[in-house]
Amino acid sequence: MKFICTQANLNKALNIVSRIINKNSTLPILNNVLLKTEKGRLKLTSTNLEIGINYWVGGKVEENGEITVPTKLFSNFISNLPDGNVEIKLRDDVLNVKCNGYKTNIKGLDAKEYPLTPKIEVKPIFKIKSNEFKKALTQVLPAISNSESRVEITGVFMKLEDLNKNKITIVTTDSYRLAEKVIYLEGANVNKEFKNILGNVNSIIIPKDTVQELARNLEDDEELLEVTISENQILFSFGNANMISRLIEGKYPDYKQIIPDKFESIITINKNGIIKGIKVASLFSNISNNSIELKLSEGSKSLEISAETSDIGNNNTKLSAENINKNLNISYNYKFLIDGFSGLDGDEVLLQVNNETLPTVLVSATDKDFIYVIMPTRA
Amino acid sequence: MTNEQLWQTVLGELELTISKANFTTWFKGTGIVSKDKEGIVVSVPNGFTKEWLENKYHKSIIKTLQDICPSIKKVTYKIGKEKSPEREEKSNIEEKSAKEYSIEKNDLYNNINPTLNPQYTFENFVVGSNNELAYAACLAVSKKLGSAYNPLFIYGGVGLGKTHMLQSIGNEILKKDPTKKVKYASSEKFTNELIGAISGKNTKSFKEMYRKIDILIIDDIQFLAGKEKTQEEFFHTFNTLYENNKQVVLSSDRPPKAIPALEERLRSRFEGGMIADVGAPDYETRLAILKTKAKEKKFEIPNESLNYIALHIQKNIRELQGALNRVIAVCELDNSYPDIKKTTNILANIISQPIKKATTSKDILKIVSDFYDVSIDELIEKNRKKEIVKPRQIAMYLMRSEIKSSFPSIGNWLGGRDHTTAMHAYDKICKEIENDKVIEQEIHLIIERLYN
Repeated sequence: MKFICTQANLNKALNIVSRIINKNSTLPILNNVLLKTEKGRLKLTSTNLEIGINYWVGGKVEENGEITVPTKLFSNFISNLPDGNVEIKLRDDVLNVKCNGYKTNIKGLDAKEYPLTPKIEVKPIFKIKSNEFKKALTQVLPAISNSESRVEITGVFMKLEDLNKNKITIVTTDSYRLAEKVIYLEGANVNKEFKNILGNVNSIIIPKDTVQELARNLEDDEELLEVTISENQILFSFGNANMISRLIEGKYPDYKQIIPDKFESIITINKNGIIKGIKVASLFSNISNNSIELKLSEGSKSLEISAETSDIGNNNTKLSAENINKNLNISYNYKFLIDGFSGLDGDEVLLQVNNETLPTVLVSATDKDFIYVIMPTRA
Repeated sequence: MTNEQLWQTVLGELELTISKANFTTWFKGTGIVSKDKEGIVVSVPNGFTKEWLENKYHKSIIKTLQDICPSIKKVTYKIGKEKSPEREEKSNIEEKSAKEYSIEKNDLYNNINPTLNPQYTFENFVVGSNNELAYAACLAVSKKLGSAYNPLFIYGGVGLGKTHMLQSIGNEILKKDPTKKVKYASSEKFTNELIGAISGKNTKSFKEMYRKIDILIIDDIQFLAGKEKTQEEFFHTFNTLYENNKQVVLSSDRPPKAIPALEERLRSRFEGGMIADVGAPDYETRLAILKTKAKEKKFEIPNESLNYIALHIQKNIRELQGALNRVIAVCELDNSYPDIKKTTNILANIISQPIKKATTSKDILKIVSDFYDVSIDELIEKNRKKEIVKPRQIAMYLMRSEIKSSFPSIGNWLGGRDHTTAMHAYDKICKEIENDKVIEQEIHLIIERLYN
């Protein structure tokens, strides 16, 4: 194998494929990245057996071949190289790398031993603009659960049953809060055959790690991302990369029932103002429950954010707000509130409350496709 | 041969031919999903495993299978969880989880009350003769807040399920009506919050917070002993709640009478409601508890082994659970079946340990004097005050019954009394234990403290 490309391209590729490597794997070769020339490009492959990533780097192939090398070593080495061309050459099982006076030999393991990437033989279900999908994932990711006792909520729930209306819904929850985003697809980007491909599957749960990696690796542009689903697996193809992952088996909770449909007060406030207010109040919140309080007074043109811990002190911030129809003191975990407000679009946001025990719903004044449901905390 | 046995045999043979790392990586979580005349479907945990088995190990798998079962011609692989042969049980679990989801709403609410552990419910509480009164009282309280028994006072030794009962009350109430304000705290937490409020000059909000609630549950109330200011604050909180017909539930390791340094007015209030005790579980109850726990953990264990655990660990439910957990952990680790032999082995060092630590006459004196709140000197001195005589006799009794001291030496320990005094004391307490439940309970508690 002999291949030449720029340091920047190779470095970027290694950044993308190296993060999923699982350090505690029993099989040593899983710590390696597979390098393989393919159709005039170099393909880098890594996997932790739950997620697999392929990334193709453009360059000049002078001789075909394949090898695996330790990922961490290889990517640390490449990232420290200067700008310029990198030449990699395989002699038996040793990879020698040359760049601007740097010369290195890295001992590799046979590519034949490397796990084969699963094949998915069906057509993509839908396509979506990378930037749109990236934003949607970033909005719902904070509310995802880490709980190991309930695996089904440690993933992003994706509802596919409305695909015929060119619509999908993604949901996350950790049972204290819940984020729901409705995504509208362009008609041309939905595979008309989706029913045949999906069979009786009308929703899936994508593992958290997969979604995090995807959100990180997606470019902020309008290039289309292809999503393919088959037999408990999902494949994302975008740009020079693709990512394949297993899906989580299980039944997602029937989350719709906890979202209230009526509110006693729908309060309009400035987003940045309230985020700032919460951040200030958070400094005085009780460390054990992160609780801050919102004071709402009927007919008032402002709401108050306050927090108090006896040995630190207290804080009270007044913010202008509209449409307060009820007297209410209501407490929240400030972290959850900040996560929620930060995900909303626009300057004006709506705080929709009923009382101190029912869920509160945050939504942007302009974009109603994303909602964030949060449970108040008990004083 | 069941599918499971067949697959185990195949794995056993394959394990010999490939490296350990490869074996654990590629064959973990695999199993046979279905089998008909000609073919077998093997489930694999992910796509990578599927590809690898199809391309690298397919031949060896087929060959090994055919050696055992020559009629097999085809093996296919499918991504998904292995379905165990006990389909029924599986569907049971699914049903159960479906139920869980339908109470998702309540789940959300329960989570807000961080002090209550949703695992503790009446449903998973095992009732036996040792705790049926307390259980019935708790259930009644959760049904009729404030009017059934107020206050409810539960007492009993460590690890017998007091906290489980108390938390169940809270969880049950929240399940029925999520808007109810349930406050659950240990007496230590109550004290700390009070101290925090006093140092922050914030006692008013402390008072308000505690007096606005619908039910106050305080665990381990005996720790209020000797904390006068906390007792006073608790007294007022208690009165306010009581007057407004709000429920109060308390627990302690001994009856109100036996809590030293507890103000009389509090004591009398504790005794004004319902007092129920929780005793050590009998053999049947212990076995029932083990069965429930094993089922909860979906762990298969023969009755014989459970029997063995129940017979050998008698005093404390927590230890009982600990022993079961140990068996589960070891068996899951080395993938073995917990038959009686294995269980005996695993628990050998827990059970063979002498349950009673070396105890000295000095320990007994100290614990008895603590328990009855008299000084050791008073016990030893010559005086015949009634409140000293009883503890002294109990100390003598314990020295005889627990550490088998001779009567002359007991007399020596207690200020050089005559051995006949010690004999008299021993006989007297023996008789009283038979006739007087209170003394029996007290001695029980002292013995428990002696060994914990």
